[in-house]
Amino acid sequence: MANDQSGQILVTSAATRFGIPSRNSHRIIYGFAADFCETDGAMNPLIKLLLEGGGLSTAQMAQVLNLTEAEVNHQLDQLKKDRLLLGWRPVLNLADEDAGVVRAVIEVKITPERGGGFNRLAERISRFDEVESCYLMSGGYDLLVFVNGSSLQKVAGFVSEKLSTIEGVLSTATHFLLRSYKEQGFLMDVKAEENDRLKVAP
Amino acid sequence: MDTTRFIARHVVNLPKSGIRDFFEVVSKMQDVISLGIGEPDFDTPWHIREAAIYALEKGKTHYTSNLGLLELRRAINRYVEKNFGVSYRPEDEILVTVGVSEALDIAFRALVNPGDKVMFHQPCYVSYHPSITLTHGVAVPVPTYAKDNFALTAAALAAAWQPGCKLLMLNLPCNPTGGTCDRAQVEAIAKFCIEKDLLVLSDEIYSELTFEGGHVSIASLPGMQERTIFLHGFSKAFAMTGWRIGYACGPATLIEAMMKVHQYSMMCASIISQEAAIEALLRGEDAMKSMRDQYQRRRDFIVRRFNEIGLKCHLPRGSFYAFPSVEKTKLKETDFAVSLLQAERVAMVPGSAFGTNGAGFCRACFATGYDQLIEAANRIERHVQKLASQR
Repeated sequence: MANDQSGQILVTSAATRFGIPSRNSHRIIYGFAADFCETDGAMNPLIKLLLEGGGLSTAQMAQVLNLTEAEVNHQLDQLKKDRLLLGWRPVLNLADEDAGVVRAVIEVKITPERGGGFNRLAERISRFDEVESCYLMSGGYDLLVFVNGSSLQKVAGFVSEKLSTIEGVLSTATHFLLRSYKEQGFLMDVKAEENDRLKVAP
Repeated sequence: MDTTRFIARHVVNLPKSGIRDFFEVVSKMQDVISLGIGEPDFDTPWHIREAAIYALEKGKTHYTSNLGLLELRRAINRYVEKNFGVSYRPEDEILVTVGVSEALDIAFRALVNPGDKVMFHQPCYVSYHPSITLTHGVAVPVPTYAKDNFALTAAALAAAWQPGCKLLMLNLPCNPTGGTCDRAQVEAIAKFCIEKDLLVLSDEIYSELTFEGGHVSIASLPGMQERTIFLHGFSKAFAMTGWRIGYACGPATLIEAMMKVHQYSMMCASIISQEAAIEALLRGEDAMKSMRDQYQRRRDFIVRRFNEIGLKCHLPRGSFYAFPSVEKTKLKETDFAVSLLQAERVAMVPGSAFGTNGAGFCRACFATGYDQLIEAANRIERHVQKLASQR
């Protein structure tokens, strides 16, 4: 469940919080701003390391960056304070799970408001736990909303009961996700390649 | 001019809350990790807040029926039947109140004649004893003990009982001890109540936060529905403490009596809170379970740490309180709490604020983030070690 007081995505496990990756989880960073360069123009090396997605622990990152672990943690805290780093989420392949997560993408048309544009409505919609992501889009509709639910009925119920009824929502078009081929930069259903590198090569 | 002479005698004699004193001190300090706040750290789930916003937009701003919105009472009946195994008629056996606090207050006012004896187990929530005093009743405390993990035993009840006892105030799971009773223990209590013709006021506000073994509501036992007023609310399970919304369920004659007081003092609970409560009952289960899972993990962590530090602590089966013993420090619980606060800036409430059997214990609320809990545990450990080295 998201604690939306600070707008951060809830950290899913204590292990991830302290930067110790579990063996097979992948990590992804959401919401990096366009301008994350240091004043001298080079990208913050810590962010670069995080983006590489190697799943390093803070201790390992400290070694690579030649800093103390405390300094790495301090930098991470600063990134959080500056709202560059919003949180951590593992990218899971739940396709085969019987638990059954139903995902849908909803195109929402809303009326902009004086003094706020689309912001107030977009925020109100975004705060629902069912809403994974919400974007303002150019083109034929205004908001693109990604919704997760435990069943088709639950998602449909959310759209008809909670989303469509909000004052200012003009229309919704719901599309249900049938199959994922690539998730947040990770290919699904692709076997890990066997790497037969020679131990010594000239 | 001295206006204190206008204050009613029984209010003058009302003891000041032990918690409040302690927190006057805490509030003046900076950077305190407080394990003393008896409410969830979660905000109310968004869909519940949104339902309230929607209700406001739709113009729901008027008085409701004294008993509460019928739709809410129907939802309460379905919820209580499903989760507690007791069925109440929405028309006349359910009353929606301004928090369980109000339900308790009007129950005492409706049921207690001056001099009537009211039994309650202690350590307990700070308002039970004063509420009895305010209605000119006589408080009869019943001790609970660490050896029973602070469960209420029929034996302790029998030992404390006196002729003239009319009501039994139950709070299971219990604030501050986290103690609760299993089926056999509740059956024994029920048997005692029937034998001694006691009416039971059962405050079950923490019941959803029962982690192992399931919660048994005394009203669901044979012969008990007709002599129990079941009190419950939304504050802890759905993180709705500030909404001030709760309910009482019971025999129609008793609900009617409480309603007489309620209609003159409150009229009705806030309509917005009632609308939000409907949403909580209809669709709040997932969020509630998620919060409960998190409390359980935090409980396991903090209790383990207390025992590692040497502050013997039983694993509370319910609520979000741990009740560690500070015996090892050889300090009185109030002295320990104050010294911990001053030396390490961690606030725990001394157990004596909750009753005489709370002496030697402190209450730690683990409804707070992991990083706070980890840091607090480390600071407490440091402090306990320092105290040991000073002796």
